[in-house]
Amino acid sequence: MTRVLTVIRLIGRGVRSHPLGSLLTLGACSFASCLFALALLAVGAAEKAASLPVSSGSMVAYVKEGVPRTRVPEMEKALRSLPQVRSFTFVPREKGLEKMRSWLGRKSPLVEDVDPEILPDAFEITLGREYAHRPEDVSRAVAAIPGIGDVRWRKGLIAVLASSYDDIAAAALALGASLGLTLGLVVFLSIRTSIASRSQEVAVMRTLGAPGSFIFAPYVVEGALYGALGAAAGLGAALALAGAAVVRFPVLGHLLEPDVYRLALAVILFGFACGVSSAALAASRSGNG
Amino acid sequence: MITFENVTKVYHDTVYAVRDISLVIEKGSLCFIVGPSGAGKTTLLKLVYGLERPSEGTVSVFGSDLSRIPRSRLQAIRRHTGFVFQDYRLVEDWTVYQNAAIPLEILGKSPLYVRSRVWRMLKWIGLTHKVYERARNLSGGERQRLALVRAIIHDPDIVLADEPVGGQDETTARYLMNVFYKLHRKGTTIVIASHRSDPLMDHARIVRMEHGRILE
Repeated sequence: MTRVLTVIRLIGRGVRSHPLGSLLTLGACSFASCLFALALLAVGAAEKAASLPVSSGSMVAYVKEGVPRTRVPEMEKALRSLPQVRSFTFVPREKGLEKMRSWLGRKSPLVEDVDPEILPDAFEITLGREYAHRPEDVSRAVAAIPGIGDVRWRKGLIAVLASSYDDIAAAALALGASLGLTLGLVVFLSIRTSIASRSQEVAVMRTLGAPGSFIFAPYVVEGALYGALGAAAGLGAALALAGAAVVRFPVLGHLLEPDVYRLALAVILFGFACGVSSAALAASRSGNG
Repeated sequence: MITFENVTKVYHDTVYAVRDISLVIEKGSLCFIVGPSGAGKTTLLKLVYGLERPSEGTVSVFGSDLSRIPRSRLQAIRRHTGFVFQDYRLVEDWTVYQNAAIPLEILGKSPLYVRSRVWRMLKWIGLTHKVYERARNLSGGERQRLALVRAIIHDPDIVLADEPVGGQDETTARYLMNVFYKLHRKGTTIVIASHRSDPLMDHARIVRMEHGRILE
């Protein structure tokens, strides 16, 4: 408890001695964490897009307008006979509308007042794994079945997102690494400057026999606070931006609906780890110097 | 308690600060190192505190050879030793209270104990009216008294003092020397480097130095 109070007091002295520098460091940490959170949101959106029916490894075949439901068993038989089709589900137009509402949100203007009667019945088809990479061939075979009007796969923004999952994940990884380095560098330089500006204090404490942990603990805790508080602020900003994006593009509503707890944990851990490690590095370099 | 065995300290390979010194300072003793400027008194104290390493020979404190112990052990020895530096070595941006409290904080004493002990010591030395003053704003005499408080506030086993009354008027000098005498009576080992004589020397062991050597 005594140590904790001493550390808090020493941090207070440090922050009071350079308030603007502390604020700038916190701002830089927030900015880096915000970008990191946005990158994670993009990966999450791509992952969700990939799991939607019209995406990789699956397609939707729409029944031609005017074809009665009595012909559905005949079409199902034809689909079963195709080796490229691993499984399929018949989706009547009412159920299709419900699904669209769940993806886009009930309030979405795209589905809010839609009459199910104008929609076609459809088959959700899952391709055999060995055919997933050539959907054009499968689509031609499915389209040849009497009663099928249109076959769709990987089309539109969601399909583009889904097909880009690997690229988005790789970009997010690279971005996360560079943001981690940036955040670490900012905290490292800030802590180094802080230690340098209080070199007399450090030298006197060392002369009086203070162990390294006593002298440098406040700096490491200060770095951790920059990282964690910056991450919390950055997370808030990222969630606000995502909310604004959903208002502007309602179709993204389902995709940009993050698991806030997991996202918060990831971003704050990211900031905390970068802050602590770079502050510890700065302290150890000052300790050796 | 403090042992020098054939200790030599050379700076820049040519300047001998101390030469082949052998000396034992017993636990609880009061010892004056006297001699003119450049005699090697300050170097001797720095060797005891581990601020300098001998070029030859060994310096032992509490039975530990300071050249061979790890850094952490040396820091532990320093925590139980007080040093009144000639240049005070206060943290200029800190207040009188903060400067006085730091040895106790380093030892992990409770905030309540630190507060009461600091106030008691500052009252004893006559600095309570300056408690929230920054060290840089103190006069020479006040700085010297603060340096003394910082050196003894944690009841160290050894107190080293480098010209602790240099530049002080006679009354202040008497007062400070009396503090050392009281500490000695309580059993603390006191080593004072001084270039001027003092009545307290009648009760102390005197080690005279000149040109880095002990004369008697």
